[in-house]
Amino acid sequence: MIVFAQRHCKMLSKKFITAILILFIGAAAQLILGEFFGFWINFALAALVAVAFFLELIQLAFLALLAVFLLNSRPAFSYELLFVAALPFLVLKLRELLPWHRWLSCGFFVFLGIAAMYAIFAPGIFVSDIQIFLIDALSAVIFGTVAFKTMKII
Amino acid sequence: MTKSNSVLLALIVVLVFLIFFAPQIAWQARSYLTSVAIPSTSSGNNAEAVALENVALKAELAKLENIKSQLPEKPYNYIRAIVLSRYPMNFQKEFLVDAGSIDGVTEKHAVVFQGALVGRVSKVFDTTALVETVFDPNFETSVRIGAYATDALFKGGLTPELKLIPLEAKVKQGDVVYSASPDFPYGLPIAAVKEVRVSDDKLFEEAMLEFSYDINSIKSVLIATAR
Repeated sequence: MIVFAQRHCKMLSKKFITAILILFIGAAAQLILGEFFGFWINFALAALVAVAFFLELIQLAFLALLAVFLLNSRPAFSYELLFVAALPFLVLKLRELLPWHRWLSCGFFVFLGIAAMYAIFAPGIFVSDIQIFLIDALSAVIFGTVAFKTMKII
Repeated sequence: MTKSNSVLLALIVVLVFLIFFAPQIAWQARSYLTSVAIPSTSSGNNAEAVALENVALKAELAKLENIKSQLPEKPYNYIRAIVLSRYPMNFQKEFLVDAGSIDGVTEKHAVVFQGALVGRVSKVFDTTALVETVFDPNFETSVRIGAYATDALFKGGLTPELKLIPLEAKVKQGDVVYSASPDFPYGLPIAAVKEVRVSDDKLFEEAMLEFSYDINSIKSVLIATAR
């Protein structure tokens, strides 16, 4: 039945299901590590950037909203989550533009996205606690690259 | 439009509805996920409770020694609130609690955990409120230190610090830091002094702080409301 569904329903393609799993793993890792250590790594953003290289617009829209739903921590609008939801669409638009390997582009976009987030929402951290940014960005780049490779294999 | 796209569109509509009208479903899921993954240590940790009680007693002692006789008593009520979710990035250190305007919570109220000031209410909704913790980079409040009630400025952040301590102040390691802002009940303990140093401009002293609790393990708090 699943095979039938996969053949006939694009929504249930292996890549899409894998992308959902990667997003869930990323969001769970972000939340559990954050709750335990008080240090939040943007794994969900990295997952969204990685899967943006393989999905179509509507699939990506679903995943972006799913990420916002999972990460949302307040009953109010959040510019940070708007950024998290919007970045994958930028990646979708620009994913073929960079001249090097696509997995390098994925890492580049993850790093650039997180750097942009810190620059917009907490520029002071670059001066006072640069290690927070570096650990966050590098961990997310590693996760994003692994997610990219996984998506490529599937 | 293909059938699969129609299904996805329907799911997107459902997600938008959940994000705006039922975010508590995600908070409950997060709470369950983290409680399964991380064993609870907050209220059952005896060492932490004893350390907090010690800080609280030091603050009470300092308050009594110095200024209590000069102060009018300003009584407070406390509302118990459960932590629902935490801000999932490093830019802010805030959490959401399940008490809001209908419970009498208003902005700037002190938020207390086992007698220690852990933050203030930054935004109030009908049934929930956001708490800006003392570890948030934007958190600043006036405090006093130790038995001599030395004035200082508490500056939040990943590693909160005390600023603007007068050079001649007799501040030493272990001195308790307690609230002295009109926004909060006077004398709420916040932390203890860990290390004192002269500021870069040599005009003041600064101090690193030691906290007796783990902010990430807090599951419930009290919110002070003026009686």
